Amino acid sequence: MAKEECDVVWISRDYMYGDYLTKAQQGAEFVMMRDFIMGVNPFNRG
Amino acid sequence: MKKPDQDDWEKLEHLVKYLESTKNLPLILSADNSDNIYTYADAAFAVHPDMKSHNGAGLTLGRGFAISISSGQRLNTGSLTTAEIVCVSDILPTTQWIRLFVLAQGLKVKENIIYQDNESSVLLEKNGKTALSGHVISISEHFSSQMQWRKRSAMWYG
Repeated sequence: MAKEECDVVWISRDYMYGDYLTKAQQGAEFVMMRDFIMGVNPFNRG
Repeated sequence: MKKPDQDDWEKLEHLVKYLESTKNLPLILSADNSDNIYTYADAAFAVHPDMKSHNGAGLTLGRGFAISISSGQRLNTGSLTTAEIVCVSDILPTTQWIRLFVLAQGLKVKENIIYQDNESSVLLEKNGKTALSGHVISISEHFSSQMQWRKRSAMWYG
């Protein structure tokens, strides 16, 4: 980073799919994350 | 699992019913045209009975998680920020292994991106410095920082 070799780009925490693997999700959030993780709907990256 | 009880049995029944009802749901894996590797890394702070945190991470080449990680951390941390740093430290070897695997197939890897939702952790990992005490945390930070310095990973936050 000191050599400006990396970028930092903000994305919404709504698209933090790692959340799915730390605690139980429910409802629409569960379905959205599941579909992304399973590759059913891969176009929801944020 | 230690000392499972009736509540855990009901969760298992719920899980089996879910699997039965979604047995036709496919797992679709493919790569997009970006030549990037994306890893989503998150930590749940102090959720275990011994107050250790839990890692959750998924790695994708564009469509579907090729690798999913859900594992307890091996050390206690004092805050969510440090738990997130430990999480990245834990999953970095896997992301680097995947990068080398993809390169060995004769394919390109432009960027190896790790998404995080904690800006403080991202800054600490990038700078490799911390006001927090703790030798182990420092090791984790410096490991992450060194990997990034080598331009093998990019820390993103969201």
